[in-house]
Amino acid sequence: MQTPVISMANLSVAFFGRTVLNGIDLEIPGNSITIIIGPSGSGKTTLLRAVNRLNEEFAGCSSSGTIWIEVSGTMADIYADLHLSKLRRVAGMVFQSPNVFPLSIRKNLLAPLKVMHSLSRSQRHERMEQALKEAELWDEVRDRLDDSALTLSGGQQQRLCLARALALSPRILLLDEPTASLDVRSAAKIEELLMKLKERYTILAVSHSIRQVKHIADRAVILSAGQMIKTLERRELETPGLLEGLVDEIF
Amino acid sequence: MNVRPEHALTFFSWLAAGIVMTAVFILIGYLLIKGLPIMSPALFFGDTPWRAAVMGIEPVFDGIYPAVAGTFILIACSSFIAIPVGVFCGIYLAEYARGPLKNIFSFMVDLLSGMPSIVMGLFGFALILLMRRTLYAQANTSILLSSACIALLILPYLIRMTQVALESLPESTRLLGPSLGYTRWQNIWHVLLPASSTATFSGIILSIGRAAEDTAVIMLTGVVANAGIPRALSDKFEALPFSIFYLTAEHRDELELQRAFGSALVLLTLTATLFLISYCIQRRFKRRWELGE
Repeated sequence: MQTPVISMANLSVAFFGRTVLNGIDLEIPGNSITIIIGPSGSGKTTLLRAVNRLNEEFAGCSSSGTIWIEVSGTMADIYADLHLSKLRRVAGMVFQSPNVFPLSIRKNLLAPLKVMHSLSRSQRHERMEQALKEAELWDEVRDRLDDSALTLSGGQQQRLCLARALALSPRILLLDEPTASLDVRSAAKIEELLMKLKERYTILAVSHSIRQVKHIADRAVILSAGQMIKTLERRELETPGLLEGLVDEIF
Repeated sequence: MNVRPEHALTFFSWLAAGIVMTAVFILIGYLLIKGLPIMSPALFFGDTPWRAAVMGIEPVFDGIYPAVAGTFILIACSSFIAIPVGVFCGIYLAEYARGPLKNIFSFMVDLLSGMPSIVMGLFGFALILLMRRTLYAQANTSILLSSACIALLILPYLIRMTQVALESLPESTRLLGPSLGYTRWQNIWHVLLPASSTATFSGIILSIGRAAEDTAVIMLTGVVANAGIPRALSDKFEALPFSIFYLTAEHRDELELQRAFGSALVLLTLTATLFLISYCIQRRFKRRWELGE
């Protein structure tokens, strides 16, 4: 296996003393799509949020274990070596339901850039355009950048969220059921986009859909009651019935 | 649900709304009928030419202009003190305070909001007495003292409204900033405060109204019947609610009572104007957040 981009060792997370994740060891290779799958309450979202330390935003959270992520060629301990703000830019996140700012499309991308980076005005605009192109949204919004982002369709909003994360030049994309709230067509568009984005980014996602896992995942991590049950590689995912069987057992 | 309680509930909701609307209409209508006929430059400036009065060249003896100015300065000063402190306290309570400290602080805010305004006035008065005996023998009640006491009075509204506005933001909005790498303060400043600005501004509007109408506090801390326009923050002052009070309480003829109604109408207009201004500021603020760069 190639060197991992994310590496977790003995990761446990608890909220108010109730264990949500228990002793997770996981290595995620770069430029691939890894999908976490498991029943509700199995700790999928918590696992995802452990990578960018977003769990800490909630009261009563305590975590132990270590996570390293690869930043410019070296593995960095996310607790010791990386500034929280930097970590969260390196690991960009997209939420389950489109979570745009109630601002103009333009400002959705420019506002974080303005807060986080000391870029010139033209550099910011350049990044915005590039990110929108990368999220395949540019052609749809280039003439209406000053419209409210809320006027976009659900799928477009989700791609805007993706663009917003991309504009901050991440290395990793954390996606929490990015297509769960979308119709089939918009979901397919996002899946197609993710297949392209994995060439440049390492994608860790949560999904409920077996079909989606079989369709786009390079590997699946099966989670149940906070424990990692199994990981399946691409060729195992292609074995008919294997994933379905495992999922049937757990759910 | 049973049909009958359903109808009854609907009926009572309509009825309650109707009662409130009627009360407001009667109140304003009555004020207009009683107050409008007296509206004239004379009500404001008495015999003094209005230019000279507004420029402060000649004092106004027999008009409510100094009271209008006094009330305006009072609101401005108390807002200047209370709005920043109140909003930041609200931020502290919603975003930083945790555990027992938060409970204690919340209880104190409740206590403060339950404090009658006369007690606040008494406190201001006692403070001056204390200062006279200790640090500063010339200490006297003034518009600054009144503003400080009024600020104390309106603080709980500002704190609570800001706190509740922030706390009622959905989790998705709260997580957005941090997920993009915003620090806690960046998230509060760039995301949470603008997103909750409508409710925060309601708190500001509410407190302006409260500052404009309170009489008990100022009676003990610096308002007098004929002070003219205050030249300094250490001066005594006139204020509309107090003018209404003494015009009514001590009226000798119908005209003086009418002037009380006129003053009431002016006070209502003044607060309405301030509400409108805050509303416009809030709109502009929100638009700038939503569309500006």
